[in-house]
Parts: sequence; structure tokens; C-alpha cells
Amino acid sequence: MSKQDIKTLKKIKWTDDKPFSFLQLIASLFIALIVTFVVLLIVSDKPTKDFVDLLTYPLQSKFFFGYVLIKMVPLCFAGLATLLYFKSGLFNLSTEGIFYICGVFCTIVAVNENFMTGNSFVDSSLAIIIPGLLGGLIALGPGILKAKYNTGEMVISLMLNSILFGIGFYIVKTFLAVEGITGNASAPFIESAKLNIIIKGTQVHSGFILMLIAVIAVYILLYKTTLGYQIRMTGLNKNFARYSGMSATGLILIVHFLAGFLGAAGSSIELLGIYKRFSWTMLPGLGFTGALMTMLGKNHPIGVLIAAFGISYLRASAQLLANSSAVIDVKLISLVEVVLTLLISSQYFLRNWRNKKLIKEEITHE
Amino acid sequence: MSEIILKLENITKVYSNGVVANKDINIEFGKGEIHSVVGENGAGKSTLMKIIFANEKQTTGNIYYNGEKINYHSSLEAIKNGIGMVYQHFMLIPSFTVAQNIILGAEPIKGGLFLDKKQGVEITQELAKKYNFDIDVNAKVQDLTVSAKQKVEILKTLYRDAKVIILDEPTAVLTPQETEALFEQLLYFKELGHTIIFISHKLNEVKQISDKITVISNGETKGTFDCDDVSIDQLTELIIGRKLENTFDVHKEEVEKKPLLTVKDLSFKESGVYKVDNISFTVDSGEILGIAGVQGNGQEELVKMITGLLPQDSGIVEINGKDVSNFGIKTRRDSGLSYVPEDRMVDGVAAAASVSENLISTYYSSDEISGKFFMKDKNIINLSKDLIKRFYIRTRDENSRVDSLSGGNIQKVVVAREWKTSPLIMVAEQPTRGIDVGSARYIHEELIQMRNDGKGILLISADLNEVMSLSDRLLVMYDGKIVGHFDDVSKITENELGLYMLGTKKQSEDELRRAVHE
Ligand SMILES: Nc1ncnc2c1ncn2[C@@H]1O[C@H](COP(=O)(O)OP(=O)(O)OP(=O)(O)O)[C@@H](O)[C@H]1O
Ligand SMILES: [Mg+2]
Repeated sequence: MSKQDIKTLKKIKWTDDKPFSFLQLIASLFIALIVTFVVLLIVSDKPTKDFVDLLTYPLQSKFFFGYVLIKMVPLCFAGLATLLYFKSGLFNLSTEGIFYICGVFCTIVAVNENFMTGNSFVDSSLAIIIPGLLGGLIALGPGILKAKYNTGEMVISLMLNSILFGIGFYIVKTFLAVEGITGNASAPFIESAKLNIIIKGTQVHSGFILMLIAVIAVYILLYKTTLGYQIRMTGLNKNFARYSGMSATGLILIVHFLAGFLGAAGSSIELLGIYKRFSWTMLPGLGFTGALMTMLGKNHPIGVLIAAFGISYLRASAQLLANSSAVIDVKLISLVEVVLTLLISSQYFLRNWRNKKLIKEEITHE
Repeated sequence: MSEIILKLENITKVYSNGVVANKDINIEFGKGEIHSVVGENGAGKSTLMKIIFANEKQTTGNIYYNGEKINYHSSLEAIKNGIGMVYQHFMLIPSFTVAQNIILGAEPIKGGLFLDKKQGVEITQELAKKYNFDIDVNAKVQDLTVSAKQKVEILKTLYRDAKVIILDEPTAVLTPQETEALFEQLLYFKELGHTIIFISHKLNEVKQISDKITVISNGETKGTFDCDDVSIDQLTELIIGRKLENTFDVHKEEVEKKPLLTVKDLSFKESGVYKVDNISFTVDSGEILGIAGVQGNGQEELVKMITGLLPQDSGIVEINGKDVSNFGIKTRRDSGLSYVPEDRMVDGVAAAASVSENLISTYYSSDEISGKFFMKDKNIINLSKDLIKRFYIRTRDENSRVDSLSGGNIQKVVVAREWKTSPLIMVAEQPTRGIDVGSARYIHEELIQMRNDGKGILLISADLNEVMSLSDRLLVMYDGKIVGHFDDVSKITENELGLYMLGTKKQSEDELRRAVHE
């Protein structure tokens, strides 16, 4: 490291907005973990071991860590889709239903010989892009309602979720389910449609890379393009956007389509990456989880990526430990998530510290 | 010397972004005095007031109220203890009615449990009448004009019967008549022993009403003066650090005449009443057409129809010869329109976005800012820096959020952006609202420069001084109609204008027809 580098490193001012957010995140995490520990103290007879396990279990083998990485993929996609909505000022949670029904669409493509060419790149792409486009089109529904009639997107999106689930489940039961398997599950996906494993000894598949690409793409879209600029300004102040000459109608439609596409792509990638066949019989809960990712990620695509990793780590750890520990399960993690959300979305957390620090710095500067 | 009711001792405020807004400020406010606080945009006036009102916390220093050191945790506590404040930017709930907003938090209670709606309405009606504010208490706040909103804010504070009343630029959007009415009220309060802290950039008002004047510059006090001891010129010099010529160069250059904005028979009806009634006029290249009038006489609607934010019921709007009547604001902007809106916080800025993002919003798709897909970050930074310097926008840098700027500096962001669009015709609604004397002068000079370059300007302002000194021609609006048209502004007096504005006088149809250039 050169002297210059050291100098700039030293120059990080924790009171500046971005470092401060980071600090807030770390501190929140710390507190959330303490809360977890306290709960373990109450419910577990070997709290320390359980706690250490929870924190370190995924690090104990390559396979486990890989599990964390693949489990973050759907979280991240859902987070990115919701982020687009939130950035444009729309509180839409339809990623939930889109995720389910587009999983069904993906299955239709991926179990059907007629769609498949045998080339694994082409087949996977088809099985991701076709549901993706359909997901975008479905999301346009509430988009049009919003743009034309200014309907409340929150309610519409929640209703849409139930409808999409109903339709999806009906398709699975009547057209896709194969006999001989309990529950309603489809035939196995054709091998060439599945995503390849990219790290040996783990389940990590190429969908992980697609996720990273999606994060970068959303970042660039939001912060480097004219479209993203319009989306953000509309989200911050609709009147201002209109006054400036931006067309809300067009933007709302584009955002819905893109978010629908992202949700759908996330669903297909999840299916083709780690499942053999379609067997979902419930909504995945990703609408709310997507909102959680955006909130924890401070409304930023990179933040969403970090949040997805963090939550995935804890959830995966809990899942992996569920068999060996009597008290740890995914519900415990919900608690951590709640505490984190509260702390991170609070403006007041650590504010006093920041103020005191600022006083010291600025006054001595004078 | 009168009894001290409020004392600030060594108040220093550092904002979380590191801006030092107040430095070691010491001021004493006497009981029953009207004490003005003046200073440049960004000097730290609003910050200091918010600290007194416990809306911001001082970083160091003490506040003594009635001799006791106070340390309120919230404005609610301040209100309970008799400190009231009218913010520079409104804190009203748009979807509530005027009455609901005024009594909010201190509602009359019926039978010990329920809100007494009827009584709430009655109380507010009485209140408005008592203070001579003409306002419909059942109207929703979102439908009000800016000056009406200002009145609601003032009434809200009066309703709580504050002992110390802080007014942060209450007169910025009031007409002289309305200001007079407010001043009468303030003097009455003073009689009753209330203390009034008054902030304004209009120094003649400050001179007229104050007992004491404190000047703040760069976050520090330059001293507190007895009103009689300082002249307006001295104040100006204390505030901006230099003298300001009393007259400035308004010379006009002859340019080729060409209609840039033509309005024909424009009308707008709301619940059966004509808000704008058959209005026609032309703005030519190289001229500033002023519109004077008491707010609420249709100017807002007229402007919104011209800029395309409100669909007209009938009539035609032409910009640079092109009929844009059926097009939205985008097309109109593309045809050469730019627009400084009346309410900067509602339309003019995205408060949570950065200064530079706000400086480009109306021409973000131009070649200078954007390629086919991507924005040209470097150009945006350079252009922002340039505008910040040119319009004296006081900000840490171009990446600061707009809501971390002072009110006047936010206004400058709006004006700078609309200027930068290089319009053919600028509709400027209260362009110097809340801007300090030095910067207001600069903006006036820019407007005159634009005119001399052959642009057209439609100027709407509640500030009679402003319209009279800048306009080449002047229209007066009353009750949705044009009641006066003056070709030579230097030939009319403020008094005469007042008669037209109040609807007492009206010109004949023939005289008015000259407003349209064929
Ligand atoms: N919330 C905030 N965060 C950070 N900085 C702020 C904030 N509010 C104000 N400032 C900064 O503090 C300084 C003083 O601002 P203040 O609003 O007190 O000025 P002012 O005297 O009221 O000006 P004006 O006449 O324009 O209203 C300015 O430099 C402004 O940028
Ligand atoms: Mg201010």
C-alpha cells in the first residue's frame, strides 16, 4: 500500500452519510445478535454453543457456505424487483405472486422437449427469458391500472398475488403434475435447461453470476441512465417530475415490466438451479422478503446484495442446524430480521453518537 | 429596558453533514418587543429559530426562557410552554381542511372523548375573522394558494396563544395589503406583551415593524441594533458586506418584436365559478410583462394553464407561434417555455435529491447531459458547479441534498435551472421569493439581461416593488379578469395600482384590448 492509500484510508469520516450507514448496519447487526443470544439464553440449555453454531456453521464446510450463496439468489432478485418499485415511489408487493406463477411458466418450458434444443446455454436462456417476459407482462396489469386510474398498487398487488397463486396452482395440478409423486409436482426438468454448477463440491450454480449481473445492471440503470434518473425523481416527488416534463405513465409501465421481469427471472433461476422438478405448493413469501431486502439494503442495489447475503447466511445456518439443535429454527431468524429492520430503518439510531462526534471534529477545526 | 423573556447564550449548531450553521450566537429578546432577525440566505436564521422551537437541537450553548434554562425535547413541549413558530416551509397536512390543520393537536373535545368538529370549524372561522384573514376554513389545504397556506400557518400559531411567536419569512408571499393586516395584528400582540421574532428579507418591512434588529452573517451575529439606529442602507451593508446601488440598470434594448407567448380567451371554471375569465394577452420578444394582483384572483390558475399543468376549459395558448393548447408541459418546454413555480417545495424541487440532480431536471435529455442511454456525469458536475457559482447557491457541494439548503438557496436552485434551459419565454412566479437582497438583485439583473437578449418574460409577483421596477408593461388581475393594462409602468403609482388590485377601478374594454398584439 502506498502512502497515498494509507492517507485516504485514514480519511474515512464515519460521520459522512455513506460510512455512517455502514456503521449503522454493523452496529444493528451486533445488537440483533445480542438479542438472539438473550433469547437463546432463555430457551436453550446450551446457549453459547447454539449461538456460536448459528454464527459459524455455514463456515464449517465449503458445501454449507455454497448453500448460503445459492439461497441468497432468490432473495436478491426479489429485493431488486421491489427496489425498482420503491425507487419510483410505488409500494408494490406483487413479486410474490409473479415468482410463483413464473416458476410454473418456467416449468412448462423446462419439461417440454419441444422447447428444448439440447444446447444448455440456449435452453437455460429460454427457460429464464420466456417466463421473464411473461412476468413483465403480468406486472404490467397493475402498472396500467396505476398509470391510468391511479389505483392503490399495494392492495392490487396483494390481490394479484392470490389470483396468480390460484391460477398457477391450477395449472400445476391439471397440466403439470405427474402421477406417482406425492403432492403436486411436475415431471423433472430436462437436463439441458438446468443451470450448471460453477463451484465444485457445492450447489452453487451459474444463477449466482446472473444475480451479480442483475445487481450491476440495476445499479447502472438507476444511477447512470436517463431512465433511472427519471425513475428516481418521480419516486422522490411526483409533482416535481411532472413539472419538469417527465411522463409518469411511461415510467410506471417500464418499471412494472422490469420489476416483473426480474422477479420472474429470479424464480426460474432458483428452479433451474437447485430443483429437480416444480413442487411449490405455497406462495414463497418473497414479496415481503423483497421489501425487507430493500429496507435493510437502504434502498440501494449494492445494499440489497449485502442484505440478501446476510439474511441468507442466517436463514441457511438455521436451516442447516434445525436437525441438530432443538431450539434453532428459521423462526428464530425472523426475530433477528425484525430487530435489524427496526434498527436500520430508524433515523435515530446512533444519531446522538454522530452528533457528538461532529461537534468534536467541527469545533476543533474552527 | 424591558424584561428579558428569551436569552440565547453561545448557541452553536453543527449539522450532521458538518455544516456549521450557527456559531456562538448570543441574543436577548425582550418581553413585548418585535425583534427582527435578518441576514443573507444560508446565514443561519431558520436554524436558530428551529433551535428555539426545539425542532433542532443546538450542538452547544444554552437557552433561557423566563430566566430558566430550558432543554425541550420536542416542539410539542415548546408549544405547551408558549413558544410558537411559523416555518418558512409549510408544515401542513395537505389532505386536511384548514380548520383541521389549525386545531390539530389541540382539538376541542366534546363530552370528554370525541372531537368536536363543529366547534373546531367555528373556532377557526372566528379566529380568521378576528385577524382579518379571508380564508375558507372548510377548504382542503392542498387546494390552497401559497399565500393562503401561509395564512393557515400563521393562524395555527395564533390559535395556540403563544407568548413568543416566531415568524420565519411570513410575508414572502403576502401582498402589501395582507402584510399590513398581519402587521396590525403583530402590533396588537406586542401591546398584549407577546414577543415576536420576525424574519424577512424585505428590509423596508423590517424597518417598519421592528423594535430591535439582529443581523446574522455566516452563522455569527453582527450585533443587535435599535431599529431607529440603523438605516436600510446600513442594514444592507451589514447583511451582504457591500453597498447596493439603490437604482439599477434597467435600460432596454430594442429587439425585433415577435410574439413569444400568446394567450387567447383563456378560461377556467371551478365548481361553476370562473376562476379565470376570458383572458387574452401577448408577451413579445424583448419585454417583461408583469401581472399584479392580490393572490387568489386567478393568477395561479392562469399560470398553470399557460404552463400546461392545468387543462383549460376554453381558449388558446401559443408559444413562439405554435399552438400548444392541447399539449402538456413537456411539449411546451420543448417549444421554449421555462417556468419558476410558485411553490418551490411542491413543484420546484425533489427535496431528497441532490443539488445537481435538481439542477438538470428540465433538460436532462439534452445532448449536454445525456447520451442515448447514459448520463454524462462529468458534464453534470461541471455544469452544476458553474450554476452554483453563478447564482451564489450556498451549499457544501453539488452532491448535497437540496433539503439541507436554506430556503433562499433552494429558490436559487430553481431559478438557476430554469435560467439554464435557455428559454424563449420564462414564466416567473415569485422568482425571488425568500431570496436575500443581494441575490435578488442578481436575479433581477439576469431577468433584464434575458429580456435584452430578446427573450420574453411573464412575471407574476406579490411583491409590487418587483413587478413595478422590472415590468415593461403591466396587467392587473382581479376576480379572474384583467382590469387594468399599463403600457408605461413609470406613469402609475402604487396607490393607483392598489385600487385596480382591489377591484375598485377598472379600465374600459378598449383600453384593455391593447394587451393583445395582433
Ligand atoms: N437539515 C440540514 N442539514 C444540513 N445542513 C443544513 C440543514 N438545514 C440547513 N442547513 C445549512 O445550514 C445553513 C443555514 O441554513 P438556514 O436554513 O438556517 O439559513 P437561513 O438564514 O434561514 O437562510 P434563508 O434566508 O435562505 O432561509 C445553510 O448553509 C444550510 O445549507
Ligand atoms: Mg430560512
